[in-house]
Amino acid sequence: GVAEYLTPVLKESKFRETGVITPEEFVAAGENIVHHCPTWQWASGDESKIKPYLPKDKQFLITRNVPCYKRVKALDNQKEEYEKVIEEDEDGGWVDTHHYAEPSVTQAQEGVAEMTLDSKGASSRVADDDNDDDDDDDDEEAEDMEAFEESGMLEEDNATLDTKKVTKEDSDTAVGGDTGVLATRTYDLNITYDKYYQTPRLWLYGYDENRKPLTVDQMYADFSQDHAKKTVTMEHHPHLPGPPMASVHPCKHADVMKKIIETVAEGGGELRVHMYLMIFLKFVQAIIPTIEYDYTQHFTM
Amino acid sequence: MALLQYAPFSSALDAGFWHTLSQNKLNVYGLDDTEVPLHGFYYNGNADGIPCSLNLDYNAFNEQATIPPKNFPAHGSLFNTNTIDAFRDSDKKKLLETAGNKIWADIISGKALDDPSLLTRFHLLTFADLKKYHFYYWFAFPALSHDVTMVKEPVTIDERFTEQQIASFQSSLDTYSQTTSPNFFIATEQGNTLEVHTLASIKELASKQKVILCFADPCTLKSHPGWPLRNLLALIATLGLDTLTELDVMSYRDKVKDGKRSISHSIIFTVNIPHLDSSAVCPKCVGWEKNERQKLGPRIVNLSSSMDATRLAESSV
Repeated sequence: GVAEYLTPVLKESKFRETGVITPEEFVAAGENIVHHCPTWQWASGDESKIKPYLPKDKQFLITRNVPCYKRVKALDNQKEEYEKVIEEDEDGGWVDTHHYAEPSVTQAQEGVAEMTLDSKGASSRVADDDNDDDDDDDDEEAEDMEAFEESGMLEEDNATLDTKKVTKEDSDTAVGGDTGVLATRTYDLNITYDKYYQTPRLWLYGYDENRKPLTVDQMYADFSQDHAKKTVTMEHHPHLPGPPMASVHPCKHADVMKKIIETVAEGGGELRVHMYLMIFLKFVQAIIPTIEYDYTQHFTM
Repeated sequence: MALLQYAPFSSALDAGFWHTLSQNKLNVYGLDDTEVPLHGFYYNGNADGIPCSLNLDYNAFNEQATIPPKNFPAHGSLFNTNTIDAFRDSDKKKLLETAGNKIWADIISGKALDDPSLLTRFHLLTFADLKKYHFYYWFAFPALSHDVTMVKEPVTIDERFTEQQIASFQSSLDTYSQTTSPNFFIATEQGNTLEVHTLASIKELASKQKVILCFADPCTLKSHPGWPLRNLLALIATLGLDTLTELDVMSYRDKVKDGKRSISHSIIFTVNIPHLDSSAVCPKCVGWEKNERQKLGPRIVNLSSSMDATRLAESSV
């Protein structure tokens, strides 16, 4: 199984000493993620960008349509009591936001309820975000989209469910906790292998409630405010064509991993390299606490 | 008895798709606006509250479909118009009719029974304003209109079946999935087991025993199934089997959260399907996607802030 696959590549590992991993270790850790959390899958990316040091069909990991019900900006004040700093440094360190409890889940659910009942509030919040863009000079008037709508010709169909209505009915009666279909932001997340820093690297692409791409400024509202502007950068994705994407800069990943390995070792445990991405995903959650991607395998630190 | 309603697909395009379209428009299509085949995919493991997304990414234009693992294929056609006027004036009704006829033909010929992925199609009408990086688009998810009623309201799979039956269903399905995409299939109940079979075997099996019609459902609602069921039920209606008039349907959903797999949010309900005469003309086809204002109309995405080289240069200073 997975363990057998891992064994031979660990030979020249510097993982324990330095927190960095080889491409083989990246693949092994990726296999573990795909096995335990299949919302994550391998992708090969653009043919012309295939990296020879990774298997062709295992170039990077992707998970799509991950909900992000709440803006971190809104949560930042109330969350501090649940946080535990796992590494202190001059920049404030990494914060394990979920260390003490799962209250954030409850909070997110409350937020969901708020959102469904008050969709007007939600949309006005989006509008506020838009106003944050100070460089909104781009939009030469786009065509008036209402003029394109068709009325008489395309008739309504009774068998098409109006999901907005279901949401309303469900929250009115509140049976069984069916949340209906929510107006929520979603994210596509990628994890690539960063050859220079020899660590995984997280990429994010966000969409608003209507599946329109978010601008960088809008995405900042989903990053922990301590990290937003200094940790998140826009760069070209190593495997995908197209515009630059938001990425969590990997310069500190190895140090953090090393710290975690040491913490585990002090506790008499041993952190194996195939757990690398699980832990990686846990610690980047400090940066994007409200993006609800799957990563958990219950391990203790 | 209430009319069965389906949660429609919700289009989900990523930036890579628009990038590839722009490149193709400049380097391949030019002014050629003939139909281009596309590949999309959907997933039955979405987190609660996420709409039934039909995804298209940078791979959508590949000759061979690259469908991510655990996802299900949708066959598409792109109609990229050259001007905003051509986009606005294109005959939407006819487009949908053509799409419906294709599905109907595949049902009648029996092709769809052998390859049920042919039932899941989409049409994408676009206009790419490459000077402004504005992309106008409108999706249609063609569905043959055929009134089916819900006879028994949905229950979850664990309300209907025992733990043992669910476990046997899961393992039978996993074996099945190794060779065939479990987008549309059937299950039969025998004592403590639930066994999975191909959709093509429905005629033979349904004459002998009760079958459960199953499909991978991108919808997460407890009360309704998602769009892919719609054309499947039209197909069933043409089979002309009396044993299939009142039928159990399973919306098969398979998600993983916190490293734990769960299919317990799958739902089962009973429907009544009036026969459809396969020698008749194609039923009315519906399926244009509503825009964010819940009106039948196109959408626009503005990618100037990320695709325009001069603006990128400004913002990276």
